[in-house]
Amino acid sequence: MPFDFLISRIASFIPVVLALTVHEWAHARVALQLGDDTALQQGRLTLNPLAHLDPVGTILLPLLGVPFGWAKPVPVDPSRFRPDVTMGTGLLLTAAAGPVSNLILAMLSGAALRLADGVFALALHPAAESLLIRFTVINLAMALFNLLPVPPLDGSRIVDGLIPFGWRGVWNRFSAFGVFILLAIFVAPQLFGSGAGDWVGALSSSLTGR
Amino acid sequence: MSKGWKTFAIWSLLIVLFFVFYSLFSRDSRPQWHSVEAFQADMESEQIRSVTPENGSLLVNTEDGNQYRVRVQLDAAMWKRLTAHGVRLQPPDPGGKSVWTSFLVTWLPLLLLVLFFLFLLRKMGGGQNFLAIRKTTARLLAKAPSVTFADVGGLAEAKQRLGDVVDFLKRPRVWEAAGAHLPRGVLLEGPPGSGKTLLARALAGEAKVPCFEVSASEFVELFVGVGAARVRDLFEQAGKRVPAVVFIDELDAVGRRRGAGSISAGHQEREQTLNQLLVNLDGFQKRQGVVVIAATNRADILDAALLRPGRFDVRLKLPPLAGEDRAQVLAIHLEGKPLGSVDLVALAKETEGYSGAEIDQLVNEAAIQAVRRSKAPQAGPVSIEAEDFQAVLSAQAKRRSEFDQLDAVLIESGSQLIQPNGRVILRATLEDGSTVSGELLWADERFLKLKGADGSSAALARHSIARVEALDGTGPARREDIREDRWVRMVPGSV
Repeated sequence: MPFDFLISRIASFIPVVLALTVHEWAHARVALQLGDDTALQQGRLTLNPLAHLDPVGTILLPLLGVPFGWAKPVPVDPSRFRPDVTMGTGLLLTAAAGPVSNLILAMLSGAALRLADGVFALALHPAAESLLIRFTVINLAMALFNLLPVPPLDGSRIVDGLIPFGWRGVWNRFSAFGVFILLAIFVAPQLFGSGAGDWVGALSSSLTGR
Repeated sequence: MSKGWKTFAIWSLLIVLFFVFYSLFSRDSRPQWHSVEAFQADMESEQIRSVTPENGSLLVNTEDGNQYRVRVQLDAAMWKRLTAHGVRLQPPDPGGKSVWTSFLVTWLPLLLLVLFFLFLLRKMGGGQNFLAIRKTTARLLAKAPSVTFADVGGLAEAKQRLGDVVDFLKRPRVWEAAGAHLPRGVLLEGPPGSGKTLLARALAGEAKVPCFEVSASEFVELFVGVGAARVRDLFEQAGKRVPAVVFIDELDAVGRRRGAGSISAGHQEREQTLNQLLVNLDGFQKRQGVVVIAATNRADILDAALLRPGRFDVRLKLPPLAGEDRAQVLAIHLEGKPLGSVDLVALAKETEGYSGAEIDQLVNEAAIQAVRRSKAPQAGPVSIEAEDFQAVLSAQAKRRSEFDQLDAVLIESGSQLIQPNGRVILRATLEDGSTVSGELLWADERFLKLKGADGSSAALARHSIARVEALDGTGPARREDIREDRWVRMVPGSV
């Protein structure tokens, strides 16, 4: 059983790495589009997973089975955005790029499965099928998770950009607890069970059509 | 192009890896899906031994030992039909899910996650836990330091006064009988290198009591109140091991006169620390058998409250070493070293003004010189001779006189602030023989900045300068040339 467990970890690890890579690349790409080339200078504007891997967050924790991980964050310097982009908007767009890229990937791989099933009536290799399904699920989960408005996550940056000025104080006070809230988000389902997995499952099956 | 290839290669590799893993290991132990019709056919022909209900489907065990799955809800009607064909219902197999495995899969990752978050939080907290920051940073020296007064050269008066303290620590009864009380604090004042720390260690070693050693600068932290908490903790610790010696080095770091300078958090923290120190030196709680020794080379800036009787009531000024003291110190430092025929008294005469630390350095450099000399052919075993001392002394003297000469140049020219005769042009010869010349822009204790004729400027470290000559602008300053400080003139509004 522990052996199977490790195998399933490694198997889901590969699509995670691919999804994370695209996620980080999207941040870097949009930042460049908006005029900030910091990420490019640091060699992060690449789809090469090695540039984005974090030894602990991307390799160690997922392999140990921690349902959590991260890649090296892409540095963004808002002061280098083009003059016609305000810092707030720029940061918002850059932050949104990651989850959006994951959503697009989920749709693409879902569509690929549907096409294979419906239009071409191909019998996919079971491994390819498994890879596509996992890829869809992981991208969906990653996008939804990162859209949570809890501080270190991308969703909080989006809230930063959208929140009315009067709410700033409340938001900042909330932000201070971000890490704890994140921890609670991870611990609570383990203790009480949650429907989050089912929602992601339902969404992904509506994308993949199976 | 190659970069793109690399990316492509890694992606392909990962995908291939996934395929390999998949086909190697997940050779699906999970049974195949069969159609409902096939299932019904099997049921009619009594091929089915048992079924296990799963989530919205059935796991079917056939008579010939095969397994497959079928999308059938196990409702009452289906159940009736199954029992009619002699099919048993098998409860779901726990699947070897022992307590350990379920722990491994669900709780271990969670535990790791929580540990990781804690680690992260600790790292944010400066790697220190918030309670530990309030503990003293004092180091408790080994039961009693091995240094004794015999290892301190000269300083006869100080040794005698401290000898009383030692005796007090050893035989308190005798002194109490005479109505004398233990001095609470001893303040050692003296220029850098005059042996303050050594004396304190020697005192603890002589009295054979534990010695807490702390630098006053270690009290003060970012947070107001931490320093005071550390002082309290220090005295608490020392109080548990009476009789004990507490040695506070560089007391001026917290003992600076209060109320001077601007009001800022840094001052608040320092003053609070000082107040706590004052209370612990002489509060309502009588300290029994804890002697505080403090060292400073800036006794003039200490707060008056520290110096009043009852706190640091013994103040010892460590004087410059006299001739015979230096001979003693030399002898102590040369102990155990291969010494040739050197007249220590004569050498002591030549080292007028040397502090203990400087003599230590002199002896060390002489030893280095001796080893260097022993490398020459037909040199005997290493021994430190008078010529080694002479070589070191003359090198030091040369360096000193050049510094003095340099200072003379600067003073003569009135330095850059007064600028009596216009620009000061210097030529500096460096240790490596090269020369730099130019207008003196700026000087402090460590650097000179010269601006060359071509407009380039060079900062020179004083210690790298072998010789300085003034080329121009260093005529004696006349009184009327010394106008005012040009920085003063630049005060806004006065221009």
